Amino acid sequence: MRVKINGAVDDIPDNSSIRDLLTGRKLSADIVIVALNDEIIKQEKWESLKLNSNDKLDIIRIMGGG
Amino acid sequence: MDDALIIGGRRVESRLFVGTGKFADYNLIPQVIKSAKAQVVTVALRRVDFGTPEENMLKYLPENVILMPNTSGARNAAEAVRIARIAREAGCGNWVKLEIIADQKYLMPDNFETVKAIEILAADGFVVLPYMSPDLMAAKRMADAGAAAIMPLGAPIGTNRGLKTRELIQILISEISLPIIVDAGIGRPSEAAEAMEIGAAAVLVNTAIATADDPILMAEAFAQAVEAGRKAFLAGPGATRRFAEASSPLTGFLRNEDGVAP
Amino acid sequence: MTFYDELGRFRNIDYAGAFSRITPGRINNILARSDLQSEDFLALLSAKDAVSLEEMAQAAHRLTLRHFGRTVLLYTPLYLANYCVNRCVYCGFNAANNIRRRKLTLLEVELEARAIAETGLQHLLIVTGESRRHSSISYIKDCVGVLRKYFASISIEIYPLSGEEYADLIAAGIDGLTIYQEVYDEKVYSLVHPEGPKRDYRFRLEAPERAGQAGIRAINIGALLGLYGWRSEVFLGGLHAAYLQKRFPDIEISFSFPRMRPQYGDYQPEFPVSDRDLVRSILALRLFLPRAGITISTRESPELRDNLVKLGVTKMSAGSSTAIGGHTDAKEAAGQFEISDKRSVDEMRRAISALGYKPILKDWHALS
Repeated sequence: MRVKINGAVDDIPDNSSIRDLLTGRKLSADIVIVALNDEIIKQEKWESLKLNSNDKLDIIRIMGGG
Repeated sequence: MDDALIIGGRRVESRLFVGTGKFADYNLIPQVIKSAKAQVVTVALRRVDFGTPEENMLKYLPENVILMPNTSGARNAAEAVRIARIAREAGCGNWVKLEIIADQKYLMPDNFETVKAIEILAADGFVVLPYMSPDLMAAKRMADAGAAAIMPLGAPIGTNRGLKTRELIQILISEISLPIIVDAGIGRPSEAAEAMEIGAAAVLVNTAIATADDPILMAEAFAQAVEAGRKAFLAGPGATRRFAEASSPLTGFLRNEDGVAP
Repeated sequence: MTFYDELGRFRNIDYAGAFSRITPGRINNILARSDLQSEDFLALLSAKDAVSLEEMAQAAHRLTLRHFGRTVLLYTPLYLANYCVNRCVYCGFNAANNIRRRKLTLLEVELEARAIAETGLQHLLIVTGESRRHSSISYIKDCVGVLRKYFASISIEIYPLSGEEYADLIAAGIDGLTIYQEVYDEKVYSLVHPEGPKRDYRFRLEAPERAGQAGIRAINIGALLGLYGWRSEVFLGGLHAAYLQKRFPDIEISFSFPRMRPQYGDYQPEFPVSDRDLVRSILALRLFLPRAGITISTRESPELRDNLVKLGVTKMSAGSSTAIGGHTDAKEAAGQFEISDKRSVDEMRRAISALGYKPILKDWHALS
């Protein structure tokens, strides 16, 4: 199914969870923040929450800044 | 005498705020913060870049810092509000450095959008510290909108030219009752001291420390400069006559009278 | 929150103690700085020696040049009516005084207006005693209607009004308010205002703020020097002006130094103010509030007024009469106080020019 990740449209397997997505991108859970359709999803829900077609995901990290 | 800095109801122990951007190596950051004796530390939020290895900045920050995520990347109020909320949800606390820049050439902040964002964020319980271009009327509107402090730029970001906006900052210090924290443009400890001498409540320094040959030593220098400047301000600088003018007397017409006691 | 609440903080200042701690070094320090605080203002008022007065004068002179240039605005008061229900011990219009009470008819207002306008003056201050019966708001509005045809700017110096009443008069065409607290010390205020609505200290004190909220463009305040110790009175008056400037950054604030003059009745000021003290007050205020206007009326002598031009004064009355109908009929009813500088407008203009300053007869003109 098609979803938007960090602004770019991408194809991911149907019934993917957030955790699946992060694993697929080789991202460690303890460094990212995930927003699904502009709402932050807490880590506890990453396994259970299934993504739908046309979902908008922002995967964010905290980095250095002034 | 208690010279506490209170922002958003919280006591801040150090008047040197540090930024964590532009460091060659995140490993320097904990030592820099220690050397700077800083308590307020800014961080940024960015979308993850899938191509490069990632690190969690928070891991490098000591436990007792006050996190101040900035809204860099936001070009308008709506984007800034979104970033601030994400940061809070992600556990960064309720402080936010509001930075709304829609100008890629000079990186000048948009005062108008900033006022709008403050209204929303302050009502939503954030402690908002807006980065702004030092204009008195804009600062008044920001204060009315609920800002917890005002952060005027000393000079455009990255120029390291010192307090080019000194006169305007002095006006803010005189007229606005919120803490005035000079951000951007401070390239040297002497400039940080200057900002504190004229009455700034604190300064935010990032580039000057991060890009120094020895950031840890530079952080220490800045800490000392901020302390020195603050003490000078509290001590009340003495008179320096800029010029002596010889001119005809203006009060010679008064006859010698006995003063009458009040 | 109003200035009344601010004043509370200054009610129990140990003035004597503060004065004793002033050193010449401190004064020099203050004179070299800008953005003076209230403690600096108090220090400038208290320093006693002649040397510091001359230095203050040079600093005040330079500061006034920077902010005002070499200009002096000329205006005149027009007394509309001297009916009054108050019994202020110091005033010629005291209800107990047996003087001829008069009120100008609209025709007489027109004649006075013409006489004044002929001199070239464009800034007018209309004055009445406190009588809601004789000098009602509607009477004043009618007068303003007539005067608008002749003058670019009309200020009022009348009894304190409510916010709505100020708004009403502003809509009718006034743009300035003059109201002196007379004396800032509450106890003395009570003593010198034994009877009448003017006894309400707070209502009078807060009048400028009500007018400010109603949209007035200019506010002129002051204390009547002589009623109480000048240092504390000028100090509190200066704080009042600073408060108004901060609260209403867009309003032109100015300060007056009315000094008690001989007037009808037996009252003699208990705390007379010398010329030197008056000068010190003017200089200290100028240094404390660089952008405040400073007004000196014809209560003061021609010589003193001319010497004050270079010391920070920005507005002066000219061709004045404090009698009702005084601009057209020289034999008229007794004035509120005796005028000392009796020079005509033309003479004033020449005197100011001779000092190297430009007399301004019109500063602005309302568009609507």
